[in-house]
Amino acid sequence: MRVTKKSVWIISLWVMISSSVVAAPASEKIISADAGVTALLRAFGLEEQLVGIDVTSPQPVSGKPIANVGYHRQLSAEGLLSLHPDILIGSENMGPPEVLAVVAAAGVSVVRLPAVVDAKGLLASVQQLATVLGKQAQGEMVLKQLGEKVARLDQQKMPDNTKALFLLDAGGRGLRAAGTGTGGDALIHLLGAHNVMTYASYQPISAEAILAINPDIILLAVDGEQNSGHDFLQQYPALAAANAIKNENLLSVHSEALVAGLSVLTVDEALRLAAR
Amino acid sequence: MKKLPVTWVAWLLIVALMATSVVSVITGPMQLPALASMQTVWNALTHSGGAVLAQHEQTVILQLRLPRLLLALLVGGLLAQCGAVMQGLFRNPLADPGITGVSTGAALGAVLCIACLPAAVALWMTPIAAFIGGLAATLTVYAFARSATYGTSVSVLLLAGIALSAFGGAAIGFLNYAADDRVLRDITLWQMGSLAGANFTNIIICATAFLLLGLVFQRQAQALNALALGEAEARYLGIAVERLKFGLIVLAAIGIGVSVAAAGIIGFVGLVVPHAVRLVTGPDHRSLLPLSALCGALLLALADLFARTQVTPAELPVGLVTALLGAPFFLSLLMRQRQKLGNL
Repeated sequence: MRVTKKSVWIISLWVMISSSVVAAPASEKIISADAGVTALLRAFGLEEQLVGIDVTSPQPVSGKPIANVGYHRQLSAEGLLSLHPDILIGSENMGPPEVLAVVAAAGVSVVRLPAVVDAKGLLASVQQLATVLGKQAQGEMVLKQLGEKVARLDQQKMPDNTKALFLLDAGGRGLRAAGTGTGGDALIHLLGAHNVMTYASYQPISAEAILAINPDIILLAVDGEQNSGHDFLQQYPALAAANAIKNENLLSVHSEALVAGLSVLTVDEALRLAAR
Repeated sequence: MKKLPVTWVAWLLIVALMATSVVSVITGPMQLPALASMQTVWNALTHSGGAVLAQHEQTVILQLRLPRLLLALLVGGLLAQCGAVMQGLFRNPLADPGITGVSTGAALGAVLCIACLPAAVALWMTPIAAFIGGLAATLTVYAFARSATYGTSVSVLLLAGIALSAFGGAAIGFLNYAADDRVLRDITLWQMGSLAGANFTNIIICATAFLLLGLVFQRQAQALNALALGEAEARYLGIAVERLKFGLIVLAAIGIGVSVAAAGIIGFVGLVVPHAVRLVTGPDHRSLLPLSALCGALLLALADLFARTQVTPAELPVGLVTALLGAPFFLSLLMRQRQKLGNL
């Protein structure tokens, strides 16, 4: 048999994949209590092994829905155990601690990943997840893809002095702007812009204050696919005078991409926005 | 209005309580064999060996289901009993355990704790802050209502309680407004109540409070009956009305404070259970107090069973379920009694 370069490549890939299977049996059942972790597990190709996801994690697009374990800070011990998981993965905010203790005592390995605030942290959490799951090969692959995406984002960066404002609309009952430590803030930084709000977390903001700040771009969180830019201006007609609106720099952001802070979904969303 | 015999109702409630308890122990998100589950409880009680379930399955029964059931029974009993005492004391059917500001005070203490302390400290400080807040609110209200010359005015007590509740509500609203998403969610969940935090410590505290308060309240049952005639009449009957009022208000506040600290805010039980009992067996506090305790325990155990099993593997806040289950039942009871009463 003639050994071609291609066949060597295929064999080495096969060895790599099978060795990773040896490290962690493919049948391990995983509960993800964080939308960012769920997105990562999907990127790893492990959706099949998910037996439970938290309320913020999106359900699979097709196929059987995955059991919903509720809010990640109020997990139910018996509810988790009833899914017979091998691993429970979530953010450092997962809890309550007593519930995690009971679950761990029942032989489930409980993994808490540190909160991610920037692209670097995201890459670190991919690495950590790959180690925990013994899926180095998939980890490398996801890291590579993610690295490429971040590099592409870097090329398309907005000018440093771009003033950006990220808004949540409370159903027409006022707006809230993203301060530091929020998913909105992380998205603004991924885009290379500068967040005009310097306080922590999401805080209420008036239309008048927005006009006074006069940001260059406004990012507006929306649910689902609808393009709510038009509705938004009907709710807050005064904002039509803002530079961002005049220059058509009102961008709709899918809120699912931000629900767990910075995640692979956020990076994808930033790429989508940067491409505009 | 025809009332049902007290012993008959008591036995009915006891049987229902026992049935609910058994169902609670053998039901949950985990499918475990019913007989083996009961056997596990029996073995644990008698310290006998012979495990019939795997270790982690025993954990589910002994560390999750059983403590929750016990806490539900105790908190339900405490809230209903304190509600009955408050209604008797204020001679007002709308009085609920929160009327002296104790619920709002406890909520304010807890919310302050959740919003202002680091998460790790807030976790174990919250129950303590809730208890202190509840008691402090009650004592403040009492201080407003008390006067050396006229004694304690019940109407001032009620109105001061309402004012303090409004103030506490506004303070909580302000903290909600200023809170970030995590804190906001924690506050909301805490205010909906949950028995998921059941452990040995809070069960012992609730059991002690339940037994001691139950004894004291029962001894004052005749005095509460006399108070129903009016304060002056009670005084002529030889009852130290001032001491009775102060003692019972503080004790009820402690009872409610303990249950709020253990399980958060659980509405409806304290307000409506005593009414339901009164409708069925009459207003005599000697039977009203123990039957309210039984009925409150039953309602909360049922509500928690529902909360644990309806949206598995997640669970509902039990404070939502009590009203969801209890309100229709109470309305039907009200309608039936109303027909007997004619259009009164």
